[in-house]
Amino acid sequence: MLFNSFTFIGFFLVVLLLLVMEQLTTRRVAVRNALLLAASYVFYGWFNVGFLLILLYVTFVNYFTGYLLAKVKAPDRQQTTDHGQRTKLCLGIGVVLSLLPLLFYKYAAFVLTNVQLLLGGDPHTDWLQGLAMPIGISFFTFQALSYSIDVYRGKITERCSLPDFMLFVSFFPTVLSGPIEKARNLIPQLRAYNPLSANTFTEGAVTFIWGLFKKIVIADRLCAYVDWVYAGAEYQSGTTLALAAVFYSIQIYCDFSGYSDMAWGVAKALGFDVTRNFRFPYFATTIKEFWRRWHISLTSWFTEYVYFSLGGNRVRLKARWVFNISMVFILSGIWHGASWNFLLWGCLHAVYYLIEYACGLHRKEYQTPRLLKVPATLLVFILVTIAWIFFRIEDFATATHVVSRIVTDIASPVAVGASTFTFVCNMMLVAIFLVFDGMLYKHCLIREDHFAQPTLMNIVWVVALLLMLGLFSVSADNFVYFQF
Amino acid sequence: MKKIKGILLIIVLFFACDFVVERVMKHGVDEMYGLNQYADVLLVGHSHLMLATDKQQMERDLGMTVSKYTREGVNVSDRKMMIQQFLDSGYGDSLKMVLYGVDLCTFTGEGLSANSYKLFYPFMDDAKIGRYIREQGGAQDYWLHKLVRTMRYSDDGMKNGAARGWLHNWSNLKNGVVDVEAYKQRLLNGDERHIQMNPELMAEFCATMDTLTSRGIKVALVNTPTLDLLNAYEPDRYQMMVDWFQQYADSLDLVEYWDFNPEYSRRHELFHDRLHLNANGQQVISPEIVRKIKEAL
Repeated sequence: MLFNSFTFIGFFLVVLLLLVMEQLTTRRVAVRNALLLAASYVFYGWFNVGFLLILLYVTFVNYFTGYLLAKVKAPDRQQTTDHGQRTKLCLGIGVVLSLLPLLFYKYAAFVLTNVQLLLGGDPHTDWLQGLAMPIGISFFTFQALSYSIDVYRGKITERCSLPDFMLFVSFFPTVLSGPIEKARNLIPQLRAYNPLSANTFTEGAVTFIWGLFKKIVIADRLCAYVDWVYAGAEYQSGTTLALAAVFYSIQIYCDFSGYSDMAWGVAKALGFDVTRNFRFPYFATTIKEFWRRWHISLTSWFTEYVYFSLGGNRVRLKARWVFNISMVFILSGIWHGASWNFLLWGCLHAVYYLIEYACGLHRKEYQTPRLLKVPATLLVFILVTIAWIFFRIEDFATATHVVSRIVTDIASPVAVGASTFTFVCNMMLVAIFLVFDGMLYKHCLIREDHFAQPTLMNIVWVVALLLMLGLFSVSADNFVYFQF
Repeated sequence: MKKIKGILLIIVLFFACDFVVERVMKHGVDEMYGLNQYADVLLVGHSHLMLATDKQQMERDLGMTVSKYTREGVNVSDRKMMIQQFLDSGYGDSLKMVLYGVDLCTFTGEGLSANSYKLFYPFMDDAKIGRYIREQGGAQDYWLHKLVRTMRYSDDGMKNGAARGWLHNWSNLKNGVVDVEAYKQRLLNGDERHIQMNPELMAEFCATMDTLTSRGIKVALVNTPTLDLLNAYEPDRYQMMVDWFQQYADSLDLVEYWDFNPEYSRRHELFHDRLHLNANGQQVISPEIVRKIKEAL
């Protein structure tokens, strides 16, 4: 059941109707949460009922880890070494047990293949190939882990009931592709009664429409061109490959931020505030800023639970800090999948980040000069786009061929693909998207917060989005980030 | 209250714009396919006939109006619907002749779009076509396109048709030439459709011919050239297909069979790919078709 399907629209309307009825009758948190929990399990089980077992396993492991930690933990936990070791052991076991399904489904084949290759034998991992990876496993595992770690760190002190925790992990707007919500953000909202209102519904609906536009009008159309170009990358001109690389940058942004916007919109319509996962990343003037705007919930997760755990920047040796930063980017790359190209993508970003640091662009007082803002934005976009080439193309030789061809053959004719008309439409739609995104960035258009007082421009914008959804949408049955 | 007004305004404005945009697109599509004019000659077929004929040149040379209702991927059932649509449109009375595109895979039933009923979305306000779409696509598909009219044009081919209709541009824009060596390799790999004679499709075809001939309309079954290598892929079946069309045409007074393959299928420079003529090919075949129409009328 994808957000961009009529099945989902029907499902959501039924859920909304039930919640409205609940609001008109009982107005009790427990009843509302029971409804949402049932809806979330139906939503997730729709893909594969068997996947629910994995979701339940991760849920129970983290709930009981949190339960034991809260029980073992005394107010003076830090004062006795014994307590400290016991809680650390408890968390460690919880984290390892939580990660087991993720490691098995995502990395077992990769690790076994490479180990067998290293030992000089033929890889035999056929028995793993038929396994379908549970959708969203990376997302809900990380979301659940945030609870255990926060309880351990004392950031969550209140006990969470099992039904509330089950809902937190399986909450249907976020379960498939995030945002990866921290327990301390979502659980308090689940405990409170946020009544449905026309305000939240409107804000949610407008953001959902914008996300849907990005997904099925921009991302899915560009996807066809990018797939076509990369399917025969060795025969394409440098300009065509450059255009495909730029299109892929836009495609992956529109695909994932489109999904995130839809998730945000659905949650908002139900009265919940989840994290904004993207804040105009391609307007960043530094790589550091890019990472503050791209996949915010994952970056924040890695910063808080990996970078800080490694010591962050409070380390004596500069080399140790370089290691800490590199680990975050490498893990971020591997999080996307068990493949060398993701690792390379993470390494490339680590290199960008460290070079930027060496140039002094990380100082708090540094601000990109006004005149350099446009060139800096372009430079960041180009660097990120080059990294996306390695992210998109699994085969290293092909990826390097693409980059070298772009560099050496940039003034050649562009291949338009199967249809010139479709190509022209795509270019026009990309231009329209950039204008809209720019207007949102400059606050000329508003998606949220103040949509209660819609301006004429906003009304025209929404109508234009709806018309373009009707005229230019193409249907695709997947999201890029579902595979992660 | 202001918000409710805003929401209402969005809904009203959307449906108003949706209606206006759909009307604009519909006019373009009608112009493109000649569905809003009395025509002496109607061309019905898929991309083979579409790329082989130059509507404007035909009209000039014949001194007649020509409606070129040819669309990518339409199968025998779709063509029956297209002809019925034109006859029911109120413009069908002037029709003297129909050129019906046939080829080696007319009765194969595979390879053409299984969901080609979607090509009829723009005309779904017509009761018969609406019923056809509902039967083929189901109630959800039908009501969605009934309600949101711009969705009828979500296919790029449809928008392209509407744009070309407004611009009165019927040119063949395919300027490339078929890569014969690559195609030979494809044939060696066995990567080609097989010729079949599906009885249901043959019955549909015969019913279409009956509809036309019962109104006294002449029909030419036009087999525009396809690459000789393709025709020689399954020579026996190909010959059986050609013989069937010839015998069928011979058995009816108002039906003729025009096969341009013997003369042109070897001229590779006329092809954009194994099935379709390029712009040069069109300039060669279209006058030939005009000559045949003049003889027939």
